[in-house]
Amino acid sequence: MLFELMNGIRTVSVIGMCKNAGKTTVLNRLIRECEAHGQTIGLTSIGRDGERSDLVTNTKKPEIFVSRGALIATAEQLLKLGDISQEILEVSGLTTPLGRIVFVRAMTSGYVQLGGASITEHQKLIRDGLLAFVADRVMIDGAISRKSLGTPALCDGAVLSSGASYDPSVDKTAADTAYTARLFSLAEEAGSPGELRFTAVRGGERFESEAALGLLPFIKGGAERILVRGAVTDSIAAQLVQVGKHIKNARVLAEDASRLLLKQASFERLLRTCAGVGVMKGTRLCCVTVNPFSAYGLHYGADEFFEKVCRALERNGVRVPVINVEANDNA
Amino acid sequence: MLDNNTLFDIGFRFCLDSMELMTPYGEELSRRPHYYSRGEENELYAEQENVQKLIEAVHGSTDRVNALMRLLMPVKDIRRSIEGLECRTLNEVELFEVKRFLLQLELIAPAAEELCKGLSGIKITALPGALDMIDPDGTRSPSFYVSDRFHPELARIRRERRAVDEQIKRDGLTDELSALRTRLAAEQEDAEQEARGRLCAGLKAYAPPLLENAVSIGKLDYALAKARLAVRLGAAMPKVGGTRFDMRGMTNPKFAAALAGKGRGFVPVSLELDEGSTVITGASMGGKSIAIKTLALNVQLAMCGFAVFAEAAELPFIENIALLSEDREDALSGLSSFGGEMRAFDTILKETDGMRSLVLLDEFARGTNPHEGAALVRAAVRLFNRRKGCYAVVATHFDGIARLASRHYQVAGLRNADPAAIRAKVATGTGSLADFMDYGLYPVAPDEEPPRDAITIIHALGVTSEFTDLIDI
Repeated sequence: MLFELMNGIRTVSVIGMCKNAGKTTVLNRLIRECEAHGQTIGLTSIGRDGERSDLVTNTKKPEIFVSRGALIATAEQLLKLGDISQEILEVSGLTTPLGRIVFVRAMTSGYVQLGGASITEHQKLIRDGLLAFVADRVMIDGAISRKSLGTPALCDGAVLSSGASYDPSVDKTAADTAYTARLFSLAEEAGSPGELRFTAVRGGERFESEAALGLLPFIKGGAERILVRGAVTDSIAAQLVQVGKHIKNARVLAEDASRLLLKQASFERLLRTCAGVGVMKGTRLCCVTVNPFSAYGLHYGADEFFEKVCRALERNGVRVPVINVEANDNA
Repeated sequence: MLDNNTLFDIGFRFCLDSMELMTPYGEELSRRPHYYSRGEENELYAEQENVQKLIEAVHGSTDRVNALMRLLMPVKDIRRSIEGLECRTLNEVELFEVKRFLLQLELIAPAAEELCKGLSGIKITALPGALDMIDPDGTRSPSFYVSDRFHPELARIRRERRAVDEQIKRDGLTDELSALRTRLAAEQEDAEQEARGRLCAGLKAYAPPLLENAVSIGKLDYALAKARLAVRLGAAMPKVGGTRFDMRGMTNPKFAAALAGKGRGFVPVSLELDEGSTVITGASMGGKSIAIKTLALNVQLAMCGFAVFAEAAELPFIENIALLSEDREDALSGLSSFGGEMRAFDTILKETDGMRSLVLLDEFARGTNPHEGAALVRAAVRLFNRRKGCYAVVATHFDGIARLASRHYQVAGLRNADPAAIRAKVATGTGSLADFMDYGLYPVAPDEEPPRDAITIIHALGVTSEFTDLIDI
């Protein structure tokens, strides 16, 4: 079922709304389905700095299961935590706190522990390395959404995993999930950011400024697009709202969805101010997965959660499939 | 010996940074170049000969050198793994590295053979015996896998494990299959561990030649980088030995690059030194420091087995080199700048005592009054005249020093320039003082007094006449 949703996507990242959202279950299911279709998968993970130190000391069993032939890029010290028999293909020059990134091929099935780089440029090298060892599809064990900087730059597709561990209130979890999904489904529009924070574009003309107010001399004559470099935060949105009447016909473009770090209220206000918000590098949100089990004991009703996420997505105008994964890893 | 700040200051670091090393082994040698000191004459000559031969190879067999450099580029530092062979079982990643290195040797050894012929202390040999051991199937693939042939049980365990995998694929992961899988995985891990142990026991004998190869690759890389630097920036191999300095047309790439940025050229410096003191006099701003630093750079290069930036160079085997310069910092020691300078001077005298040494003093004792300062410089000049095997260069603008020295050089400065012309240019902003400076270093008579440039400069700069009218010389 997931496999069909990945059609045309070579690199997919699984992003979690929070820890224990069921990311691993989704990843495993994706792996199984791709393997069943005879695909060679490549696996790595991005930025999990917070977890790194306890990964080695903690003897928590690795949970990602691969079959023979799978390609894995992981940190040197995490190799011994898995139980596959492996061929060492390459030792890269990229280092992490857990040693160098090593490329291996699974010679048997088994569990692997993934660790990867946290710098986008390194992540790209690793992805390209996996593709070069001829992975049909690369899967990235992503971080939680707000930390997935660079995910769109790295992947053509993403799966968003949400679960009861996010918040005791099912309504809040559904609403926030739908909002995140909405950001990740924004349309890709042409544009490249300037050197400074804001770039206004009108016809073939560009005008840059470090502050939105600085755009005034230019946008008084109208603007078609406002390109924002870097994070779009609440205060960046507020600056744009301030010059509101001059950008009411302009579309505001962020570099990519992971740069949109603003609260929903700010986002809505910005939307009402301008002609629309888009991204310069888009990603395809393949589906949203929901897991009604909470690591903290407050489980949701599976049907209720599913329904509420569907309705919240609808309200946000996001049309993506929702899949119930029921990953009771911690039960 | 020159400290790191001085090595940076004189442009030695600049030269090192301009080198292109291919391997981590060469990189390491170039980070702290070895200074060949007492008792290491033959080692220095051997290194010089190696670099000279490689300079010729860079000129004559460019393709061969380029091909070798391409082979050297992917070499990684695997010394920890090689040393590990002596005492423990390597893990798969380490064995991968050893195999990769053995495969690289197969290519590097023949490519380097022609070049290394006649190079001393550098020998790169392929180790096919070790490669056969680590790659018993003879695939010569660049990856590493614990082969079935390393252990009698491995093939069976793996076969069973694959069968279980197939069953899991068909029937799903039942508790029973999961237990079986876990048991086989553990068995396999034990067998692989044992297999790696046996492999490492066999490879242990190859640890010394592996290490020798790594060392040789480093030496070759380092010497080749020296040779390529010499070719690129134009340097000549100095003749080290003998009893006097004859340094002709020395340059300094760091200063030359800085001057080129301002659209000016570096004026080459020539110096001859005999044992004892040589004095350099000349105007402020006139390049005495540049001359001293350029000499220091080239002697340091020569003694580290580099070609030097000079048309031709002869120098004694200098066991120790010291530079006391005006821009030394003593803030940390809490001494006044004069106190700090004297203490540093004392240290230099003790360290160079009894050694064939080059001592360079730039504007020594200038931090005190001219009367006593001049006396201190005279004392230093006398001291170096007396010391056996010591070559000293003293840059000063005090009067009456040069006549005590065996040689006297002078920076011409503004001596030959027309003050009126300078004034005109500087006043109209169409030129700077530097345009009129003659930075050349000329041998002059011992009793030639330092040039009186100060007044010329003041007038040229157009300093107010309220002041200049009151100057009474």
